[in-house]
Amino acid sequence: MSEDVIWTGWIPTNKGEIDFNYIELPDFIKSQKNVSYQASLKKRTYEYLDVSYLSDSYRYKQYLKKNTKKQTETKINADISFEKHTNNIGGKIKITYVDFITIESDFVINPNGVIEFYTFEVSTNIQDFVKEIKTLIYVLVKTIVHGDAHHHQKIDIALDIVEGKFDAKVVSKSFLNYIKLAEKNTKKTNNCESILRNENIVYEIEGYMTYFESFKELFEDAQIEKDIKFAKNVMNSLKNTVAKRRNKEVFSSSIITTTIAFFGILISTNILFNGFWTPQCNDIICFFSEQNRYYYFVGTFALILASFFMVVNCKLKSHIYYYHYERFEFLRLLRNSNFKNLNWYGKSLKMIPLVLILVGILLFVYKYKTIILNNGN
Amino acid sequence: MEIIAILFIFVGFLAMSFLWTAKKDLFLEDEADRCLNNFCEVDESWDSQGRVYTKGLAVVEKDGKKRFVKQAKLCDIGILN
Repeated sequence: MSEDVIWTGWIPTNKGEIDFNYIELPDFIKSQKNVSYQASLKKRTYEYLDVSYLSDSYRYKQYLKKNTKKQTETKINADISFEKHTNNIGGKIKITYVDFITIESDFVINPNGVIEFYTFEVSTNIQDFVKEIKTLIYVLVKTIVHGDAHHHQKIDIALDIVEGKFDAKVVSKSFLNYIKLAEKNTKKTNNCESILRNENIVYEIEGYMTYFESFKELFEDAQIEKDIKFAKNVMNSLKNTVAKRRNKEVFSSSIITTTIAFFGILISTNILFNGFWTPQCNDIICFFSEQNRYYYFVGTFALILASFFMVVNCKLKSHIYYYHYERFEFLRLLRNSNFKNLNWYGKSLKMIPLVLILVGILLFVYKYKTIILNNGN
Repeated sequence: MEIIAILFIFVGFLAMSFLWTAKKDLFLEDEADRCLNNFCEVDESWDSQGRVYTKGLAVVEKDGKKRFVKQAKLCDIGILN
Protein backbone atom coordinates (compact mmCIF):
# COMPACT_ATOMS: atom_id res chain seq x y z
CA MET A 1 0.00 0.00 0.00
CA SER A 2 1.29 3.44 -0.83
CA GLU A 3 -0.26 6.81 -0.13
CA ASP A 4 0.73 10.14 -1.54
CA VAL A 5 -0.85 12.08 1.31
CA ILE A 6 1.60 14.42 2.95
CA TRP A 7 1.33 15.18 6.61
CA THR A 8 3.32 17.79 8.47
CA GLY A 9 4.28 18.91 11.94
CA TRP A 10 6.63 21.24 13.78
CA ILE A 11 9.83 20.25 15.55
CA PRO A 12 10.37 22.69 18.41
CA THR A 13 13.34 25.00 18.19
CA ASN A 14 13.74 28.05 20.40
CA LYS A 15 16.59 29.54 18.40
CA GLY A 16 14.41 29.64 15.31
CA GLU A 17 16.44 27.18 13.25
CA ILE A 18 16.96 23.41 13.37
CA ASP A 19 20.61 22.54 13.84
CA PHE A 20 21.82 19.28 12.27
CA ASN A 21 24.62 19.00 14.85
CA TYR A 22 22.12 18.67 17.71
CA ILE A 23 20.50 15.55 16.25
CA GLU A 24 21.20 12.81 18.76
CA LEU A 25 19.58 9.82 20.44
CA PRO A 26 18.14 10.55 23.88
CA ASP A 27 19.97 8.66 26.66
CA PHE A 28 17.13 6.26 27.38
CA ILE A 29 17.36 4.95 23.79
CA LYS A 30 21.13 5.24 23.43
CA SER A 31 21.67 2.97 26.43
CA GLN A 32 19.78 0.07 24.82
CA LYS A 33 21.81 -3.08 24.09
CA ASN A 34 21.38 -3.55 20.34
CA VAL A 35 21.32 0.04 19.16
CA SER A 36 23.67 0.82 16.31
CA TYR A 37 24.44 4.37 15.28
CA GLN A 38 26.82 6.16 12.97
CA ALA A 39 27.36 9.89 12.87
CA SER A 40 29.29 12.08 10.49
CA LEU A 41 29.17 15.78 9.59
CA LYS A 42 26.44 15.20 6.99
CA LYS A 43 24.79 11.94 7.97
CA ARG A 44 23.26 10.26 11.01
CA THR A 45 22.06 6.64 10.93
CA TYR A 46 20.33 4.90 13.84
CA GLU A 47 19.31 1.25 13.66
CA TYR A 48 17.59 -1.35 15.86
CA LEU A 49 16.07 1.23 18.21
CA ASP A 50 13.66 -0.47 20.59
CA VAL A 51 10.73 1.93 20.68
CA SER A 52 8.27 -0.38 22.45
CA TYR A 53 7.84 2.40 25.03
CA LEU A 54 5.44 4.00 22.55
CA SER A 55 2.85 1.53 23.74
CA ASP A 56 1.03 2.37 26.98
CA SER A 57 1.06 -1.19 28.24
CA TYR A 58 4.39 -2.65 27.07
CA ARG A 59 5.95 -1.99 30.46
CA TYR A 60 3.31 -4.07 32.21
CA LYS A 61 3.29 -7.04 29.85
CA GLN A 62 4.83 -9.36 32.44
CA TYR A 63 1.82 -8.82 34.69
CA LEU A 64 -0.68 -10.13 32.18
CA LYS A 65 -2.59 -13.19 33.25
CA LYS A 66 -1.04 -15.56 30.76
CA ASN A 67 -2.66 -18.61 32.33
CA THR A 68 -6.19 -17.57 31.53
CA LYS A 69 -5.66 -15.63 28.30
CA LYS A 70 -3.01 -16.44 25.74
CA GLN A 71 -1.91 -12.93 25.01
CA THR A 72 1.25 -10.96 24.47
CA GLU A 73 2.45 -7.67 23.06
CA THR A 74 4.65 -7.14 20.03
CA LYS A 75 8.01 -5.41 20.24
CA ILE A 76 8.55 -2.30 18.11
CA ASN A 77 11.85 -1.54 16.36
CA ALA A 78 12.82 1.54 14.38
CA ASP A 79 15.57 2.54 11.94
CA ILE A 80 16.01 6.26 11.27
CA SER A 81 18.50 8.19 9.17
CA PHE A 82 19.12 11.90 8.57
CA GLU A 83 21.11 13.59 5.82
CA LYS A 84 22.16 17.21 5.75
CA HIS A 85 21.32 19.02 2.50
CA THR A 86 22.06 22.63 1.50
CA ASN A 87 18.60 23.93 2.39
CA ASN A 88 17.11 21.28 4.62
CA ILE A 89 17.56 17.89 6.30
CA GLY A 90 16.27 14.79 4.55
CA GLY A 91 15.49 11.52 6.26
CA LYS A 92 13.94 8.07 6.26
CA ILE A 93 12.17 6.16 8.98
CA LYS A 94 11.16 2.52 9.15
CA ILE A 95 9.10 1.13 12.02
CA THR A 96 8.74 -2.63 12.44
CA TYR A 97 6.16 -4.34 14.61
CA VAL A 98 8.04 -7.64 14.82
CA ASP A 99 6.47 -10.47 12.74
CA PHE A 100 3.53 -8.27 11.83
CA ILE A 101 3.95 -5.03 9.93
CA THR A 102 6.50 -2.54 8.64
CA ILE A 103 5.79 1.14 8.05
CA GLU A 104 8.14 3.39 6.08
CA SER A 105 8.23 7.07 5.37
CA ASP A 106 10.54 9.69 3.86
CA PHE A 107 10.63 13.17 5.30
CA VAL A 108 12.19 16.60 4.96
CA ILE A 109 12.88 18.95 7.88
CA ASN A 110 12.96 22.62 6.92
CA PRO A 111 15.21 25.07 8.79
CA ASN A 112 12.20 26.63 10.57
CA GLY A 113 11.31 23.25 12.09
CA VAL A 114 8.47 22.31 9.76
CA ILE A 115 8.68 18.59 8.99
CA GLU A 116 7.00 17.20 5.89
CA PHE A 117 6.36 13.49 5.37
CA TYR A 118 5.95 12.74 1.69
CA THR A 119 5.66 8.96 1.52
CA PHE A 120 3.77 6.47 3.65
CA GLU A 121 4.18 2.78 2.94
CA VAL A 122 2.54 0.11 5.03
CA SER A 123 2.75 -3.63 4.47
CA THR A 124 -0.89 -4.31 5.36
CA ASN A 125 -4.20 -2.47 5.70
CA ILE A 126 -4.39 -0.31 8.83
CA GLN A 127 -7.09 2.13 7.82
CA ASP A 128 -8.44 2.75 11.36
CA PHE A 129 -5.02 3.57 12.78
CA VAL A 130 -3.47 5.79 10.10
CA LYS A 131 -3.69 9.04 12.13
CA GLU A 132 -2.15 7.40 15.23
CA ILE A 133 0.69 5.86 13.21
CA LYS A 134 1.46 9.14 11.46
CA THR A 135 1.58 10.89 14.83
CA LEU A 136 3.78 8.12 16.18
CA ILE A 137 6.26 8.54 13.31
CA TYR A 138 6.32 12.31 13.86
CA VAL A 139 6.89 11.88 17.61
CA LEU A 140 9.80 9.51 17.02
CA VAL A 141 11.57 11.85 14.60
CA LYS A 142 10.85 14.81 16.91
CA THR A 143 12.28 12.90 19.89
CA ILE A 144 15.61 12.46 18.12
CA VAL A 145 15.86 15.88 16.47
CA HIS A 146 14.61 17.82 19.48
CA GLY A 147 15.81 15.35 22.14
CA ASP A 148 12.61 15.56 24.15
CA ALA A 149 10.25 12.83 25.29
CA HIS A 150 7.38 13.30 27.71
CA HIS A 151 8.11 10.62 30.32
CA HIS A 152 9.12 8.40 27.40
CA GLN A 153 5.79 9.04 25.85
CA LYS A 154 3.63 8.87 23.70
CA ILE A 155 1.61 9.84 20.77
CA ASP A 156 -0.67 12.60 21.90
CA ILE A 157 1.22 14.67 24.46
CA ALA A 158 2.97 16.34 21.61
CA LEU A 159 2.16 19.02 19.13
CA ASP A 160 -0.56 18.00 16.72
CA ILE A 161 0.25 16.80 13.23
CA VAL A 162 -1.44 18.44 10.26
CA GLU A 163 -2.90 16.38 7.41
CA GLY A 164 -1.67 17.95 4.17
CA LYS A 165 0.07 21.30 3.99
CA PHE A 166 1.49 22.86 7.15
CA ASP A 167 -0.92 25.05 9.10
CA ALA A 168 0.73 27.06 11.91
CA LYS A 169 -2.66 27.75 13.55
CA VAL A 170 -3.19 24.04 14.27
CA VAL A 171 0.19 23.80 16.01
CA SER A 172 -0.40 27.08 17.88
CA LYS A 173 -3.70 25.72 19.21
CA SER A 174 -1.98 22.55 20.44
CA PHE A 175 0.59 24.70 22.30
CA LEU A 176 -2.27 26.52 24.04
CA ASN A 177 -4.11 23.26 24.76
CA TYR A 178 -1.04 21.76 26.35
CA ILE A 179 -0.56 24.73 28.69
CA LYS A 180 -4.24 24.58 29.65
CA LEU A 181 -3.84 20.85 30.31
CA ALA A 182 -0.91 21.59 32.64
CA GLU A 183 -3.01 24.08 34.59
CA LYS A 184 -6.02 21.78 34.79
CA ASN A 185 -3.86 18.87 35.82
CA THR A 186 -2.11 20.88 38.54
CA LYS A 187 -5.42 22.06 39.98
CA LYS A 188 -6.71 18.51 40.11
CA THR A 189 -3.61 16.97 41.66
CA ASN A 190 -3.42 18.55 45.09
CA ASN A 191 -1.94 15.46 46.71
CA CYS A 192 1.11 14.26 48.53
CA GLU A 193 3.03 12.76 45.62
CA SER A 194 2.52 15.75 43.33
CA ILE A 195 4.08 18.42 45.59
CA LEU A 196 7.50 18.53 43.90
CA ARG A 197 6.06 18.18 40.43
CA ASN A 198 3.50 20.92 40.96
CA GLU A 199 6.21 23.27 42.23
CA ASN A 200 8.33 22.59 39.15
CA ILE A 201 5.59 22.63 36.55
CA VAL A 202 5.62 26.43 36.61
CA TYR A 203 9.24 26.51 35.49
CA GLU A 204 8.63 23.77 32.96
CA ILE A 205 5.72 25.60 31.40
CA GLU A 206 7.80 28.79 31.34
CA GLY A 207 10.36 26.83 29.30
CA TYR A 208 7.55 25.60 27.05
CA MET A 209 6.45 29.21 26.55
CA THR A 210 9.87 30.12 25.14
CA TYR A 211 9.24 27.64 22.31
CA PHE A 212 5.78 29.09 21.82
CA GLU A 213 7.28 32.59 21.57
CA SER A 214 9.85 31.39 19.00
CA PHE A 215 7.03 29.74 17.08
CA LYS A 216 5.17 33.06 17.01
CA GLU A 217 8.24 34.83 15.62
CA LEU A 218 8.63 32.20 12.90
CA PHE A 219 5.01 32.09 11.77
CA GLU A 220 3.60 35.56 12.34
CA ASP A 221 -0.17 35.48 12.47
CA ALA A 222 -2.92 37.35 14.36
CA GLN A 223 -4.47 34.11 15.65
CA ILE A 224 -1.11 32.93 17.04
CA GLU A 225 -0.67 36.29 18.83
CA LYS A 226 -4.07 35.77 20.40
CA ASP A 227 -3.24 32.19 21.44
CA ILE A 228 -0.05 33.44 23.13
CA LYS A 229 -2.04 36.01 25.13
CA PHE A 230 -4.49 33.32 26.28
CA ALA A 231 -1.58 31.02 27.12
CA LYS A 232 -0.09 33.75 29.33
CA ASN A 233 -3.42 34.11 31.16
CA VAL A 234 -3.56 30.36 31.78
CA MET A 235 0.06 30.46 32.89
CA ASN A 236 -0.73 33.17 35.47
CA SER A 237 -3.59 31.09 36.81
CA LEU A 238 -1.22 28.12 37.13
CA LYS A 239 1.36 30.25 38.98
CA ASN A 240 -1.28 31.53 41.41
CA THR A 241 -2.54 28.02 42.16
CA VAL A 242 0.97 26.85 42.99
CA ALA A 243 1.80 30.00 45.02
CA LYS A 244 -1.42 29.70 47.06
CA ARG A 245 -0.65 26.08 47.96
CA ARG A 246 2.94 26.97 48.90
CA ASN A 247 1.65 29.77 51.14
CA LYS A 248 -0.71 27.38 52.94
CA GLU A 249 2.08 24.86 53.44
CA VAL A 250 4.49 27.46 54.86
CA PHE A 251 1.78 28.64 57.27
CA SER A 252 1.04 25.09 58.53
CA SER A 253 4.76 24.28 58.86
CA SER A 254 5.34 27.43 60.94
CA ILE A 255 2.67 26.32 63.47
CA ILE A 256 4.25 22.85 63.78
CA THR A 257 7.80 24.28 64.10
CA THR A 258 6.73 26.78 66.77
CA THR A 259 4.91 24.08 68.77
CA ILE A 260 7.95 21.78 68.70
CA ALA A 261 10.32 24.66 69.63
CA PHE A 262 8.23 25.70 72.66
CA PHE A 263 7.81 22.10 73.79
CA GLY A 264 11.62 21.75 73.60
CA ILE A 265 12.08 24.92 75.70
CA LEU A 266 9.63 23.61 78.31
CA ILE A 267 11.54 20.33 78.65
CA SER A 268 15.01 21.91 78.74
CA THR A 269 14.13 24.60 81.35
CA ASN A 270 12.57 21.95 83.59
CA ILE A 271 15.67 19.77 83.32
CA LEU A 272 17.81 22.82 84.11
CA PHE A 273 15.91 23.76 87.27
CA ASN A 274 14.61 20.41 88.53
CA GLY A 275 17.10 17.87 87.18
CA PHE A 276 16.05 14.50 85.84
CA TRP A 277 15.29 12.81 89.08
CA THR A 278 16.13 13.32 92.74
CA PRO A 279 18.85 15.87 93.67
CA GLN A 280 20.94 12.97 95.07
CA CYS A 281 20.80 11.00 91.87
CA ASN A 282 20.10 13.41 89.06
CA ASP A 283 21.99 11.58 86.39
CA ILE A 284 20.14 9.61 83.75
CA ILE A 285 22.59 6.70 84.09
CA CYS A 286 21.67 6.47 87.75
CA PHE A 287 17.96 6.38 86.88
CA PHE A 288 18.07 3.71 84.19
CA SER A 289 19.61 0.34 84.79
CA GLU A 290 21.81 -1.10 82.00
CA GLN A 291 19.01 -3.38 80.77
CA ASN A 292 16.32 -0.69 80.93
CA ARG A 293 18.48 1.78 79.04
CA TYR A 294 18.64 -0.67 76.12
CA TYR A 295 14.86 -1.08 76.05
CA TYR A 296 14.36 2.66 76.20
CA PHE A 297 16.78 2.98 73.30
CA VAL A 298 14.78 0.43 71.28
CA GLY A 299 11.54 2.20 72.21
CA THR A 300 12.80 5.64 71.21
CA PHE A 301 14.31 4.19 68.01
CA ALA A 302 10.87 2.83 67.04
CA LEU A 303 9.23 6.13 67.97
CA ILE A 304 11.73 8.18 65.96
CA LEU A 305 11.35 5.87 62.94
CA ALA A 306 7.57 6.16 63.14
CA SER A 307 7.75 9.98 63.25
CA PHE A 308 10.37 9.94 60.48
CA PHE A 309 8.04 7.77 58.40
CA MET A 310 5.18 10.23 58.85
CA VAL A 311 7.32 13.20 57.84
CA VAL A 312 9.27 11.52 55.06
CA ASN A 313 6.48 9.44 53.51
CA CYS A 314 5.02 12.34 51.57
CA LYS A 315 8.37 13.71 50.40
CA LEU A 316 9.62 10.28 49.42
CA LYS A 317 6.53 9.67 47.30
CA SER A 318 6.89 13.10 45.75
CA HIS A 319 10.52 12.36 44.89
CA ILE A 320 9.79 8.97 43.32
CA TYR A 321 6.87 10.47 41.44
CA TYR A 322 9.08 13.17 39.96
CA TYR A 323 12.20 11.22 39.11
CA HIS A 324 10.84 7.70 38.52
CA TYR A 325 7.46 8.43 37.07
CA GLU A 326 7.01 5.11 35.25
CA ARG A 327 7.73 3.10 38.37
CA PHE A 328 5.36 5.22 40.39
CA GLU A 329 2.69 4.87 37.74
CA PHE A 330 3.04 1.10 37.89
CA LEU A 331 2.84 1.12 41.69
CA ARG A 332 -0.33 3.21 41.46
CA LEU A 333 -1.91 0.63 39.14
CA LEU A 334 -0.86 -2.15 41.49
CA ARG A 335 -2.18 -0.27 44.53
CA ASN A 336 -5.60 0.22 43.00
CA SER A 337 -5.88 -3.21 41.43
CA ASN A 338 -8.10 -5.91 42.79
CA PHE A 339 -5.96 -8.72 44.24
CA LYS A 340 -7.80 -11.44 42.33
CA ASN A 341 -7.15 -9.71 38.98
CA LEU A 342 -3.36 -9.99 39.32
CA ASN A 343 -1.17 -12.85 38.18
CA TRP A 344 1.20 -14.58 40.62
CA TYR A 345 3.92 -11.98 39.95
CA GLY A 346 1.63 -9.05 40.74
CA LYS A 347 0.20 -10.87 43.75
CA SER A 348 3.71 -11.52 45.10
CA LEU A 349 4.59 -7.83 44.80
CA LYS A 350 1.41 -6.82 46.56
CA MET A 351 2.18 -9.22 49.43
CA ILE A 352 5.67 -7.78 50.11
CA PRO A 353 4.53 -5.38 52.91
CA LEU A 354 2.71 -8.17 54.73
CA VAL A 355 5.76 -10.45 54.51
CA LEU A 356 8.10 -7.74 55.83
CA ILE A 357 5.84 -6.88 58.77
CA LEU A 358 5.36 -10.58 59.61
CA VAL A 359 9.13 -11.17 59.56
CA GLY A 360 9.55 -8.20 61.94
CA ILE A 361 6.89 -9.53 64.33
CA LEU A 362 8.34 -13.05 64.21
CA LEU A 363 11.79 -11.70 65.07
CA PHE A 364 10.26 -9.95 68.12
CA VAL A 365 8.41 -13.11 69.14
CA TYR A 366 11.56 -15.21 68.74
CA LYS A 367 13.62 -12.77 70.85
CA TYR A 368 11.14 -12.49 73.74
CA LYS A 369 10.29 -16.18 73.70
CA THR A 370 13.99 -16.89 74.27
CA ILE A 371 14.12 -14.37 77.18
CA ILE A 372 10.96 -15.81 78.81
CA LEU A 373 12.25 -19.38 78.44
CA ASN A 374 15.63 -18.36 79.94
CA ASN A 375 13.89 -16.64 82.89
CA GLY A 376 11.74 -19.75 83.42
CA ASN A 377 14.84 -21.93 83.67
CA MET B 1 17.63 -8.26 66.98
CA GLU B 2 14.91 -5.82 68.05
CA ILE B 3 16.47 -3.16 65.84
CA ILE B 4 16.33 -5.47 62.81
CA ALA B 5 12.72 -6.37 63.67
CA ILE B 6 11.79 -2.67 63.88
CA LEU B 7 13.51 -1.99 60.53
CA PHE B 8 11.56 -4.84 58.88
CA ILE B 9 8.29 -3.45 60.23
CA PHE B 10 9.25 0.08 59.16
CA VAL B 11 10.09 -0.96 55.59
CA GLY B 12 6.91 -3.05 55.57
CA PHE B 13 4.78 -0.02 56.43
CA LEU B 14 6.67 2.06 53.87
CA ALA B 15 5.97 -0.53 51.16
CA MET B 16 2.36 -0.72 52.33
CA SER B 17 1.90 3.00 51.73
CA PHE B 18 2.94 2.44 48.10
CA LEU B 19 1.13 -0.82 47.40
CA TRP B 20 -2.05 -0.81 49.46
CA THR B 21 -4.90 1.59 49.78
CA ALA B 22 -7.67 1.80 52.33
CA LYS B 23 -9.96 3.71 49.97
CA LYS B 24 -11.60 1.53 47.36
CA ASP B 25 -12.09 3.39 44.10
CA LEU B 26 -14.05 1.30 41.62
CA PHE B 27 -13.10 3.49 38.65
CA LEU B 28 -9.37 3.21 39.42
CA GLU B 29 -9.77 -0.51 40.06
CA ASP B 30 -11.25 -0.95 36.59
CA GLU B 31 -8.50 1.20 35.10
CA ALA B 32 -5.80 -0.90 36.79
CA ASP B 33 -7.39 -4.08 35.46
CA ARG B 34 -7.69 -2.56 31.97
CA CYS B 35 -4.02 -1.60 31.89
CA LEU B 36 -2.51 -4.62 33.64
CA ASN B 37 -4.65 -7.24 31.93
CA ASN B 38 -6.06 -5.73 28.76
CA PHE B 39 -3.25 -3.65 27.23
CA CYS B 40 -4.91 -0.34 28.27
CA GLU B 41 -7.21 -0.87 25.28
CA VAL B 42 -10.02 1.64 24.79
CA ASP B 43 -12.96 2.00 22.45
CA GLU B 44 -15.09 5.02 21.64
CA SER B 45 -17.20 4.58 24.78
CA TRP B 46 -14.30 4.96 27.23
CA ASP B 47 -14.58 8.00 29.46
CA SER B 48 -11.70 9.43 31.51
CA GLN B 49 -14.15 11.00 34.01
CA GLY B 50 -12.43 14.33 33.58
CA ARG B 51 -8.94 13.04 34.31
CA VAL B 52 -5.87 13.64 32.18
CA TYR B 53 -4.69 10.71 30.10
CA THR B 54 -2.23 9.78 27.39
CA LYS B 55 -2.86 7.80 24.25
CA GLY B 56 -0.72 4.95 23.02
CA LEU B 57 -0.71 2.41 20.25
CA ALA B 58 0.27 -1.26 20.40
CA VAL B 59 0.15 -4.46 18.43
CA VAL B 60 -1.08 -7.31 20.58
CA GLU B 61 -1.43 -11.02 20.01
CA LYS B 62 -4.36 -12.92 21.43
CA ASP B 63 -4.92 -16.58 20.66
CA GLY B 64 -2.43 -16.42 17.76
CA LYS B 65 -4.01 -13.35 16.07
CA LYS B 66 -2.21 -10.02 15.92
CA ARG B 67 -3.98 -6.67 15.76
CA PHE B 68 -3.50 -3.01 16.56
CA VAL B 69 -5.16 -1.62 19.69
CA LYS B 70 -5.77 2.00 20.61
CA GLN B 71 -4.78 2.74 24.17
CA ALA B 72 -5.39 5.32 26.88
CA LYS B 73 -3.82 5.58 30.29
CA LEU B 74 -4.62 7.93 33.15
CA CYS B 75 -1.61 10.01 34.09
CA ASP B 76 -0.53 13.53 34.71
CA ILE B 77 0.63 15.53 31.74
CA GLY B 78 4.13 14.45 32.45
CA ILE B 79 7.39 16.03 33.26
CA LEU B 80 9.06 17.81 30.45
CA ASN B 81 12.57 16.61 31.04
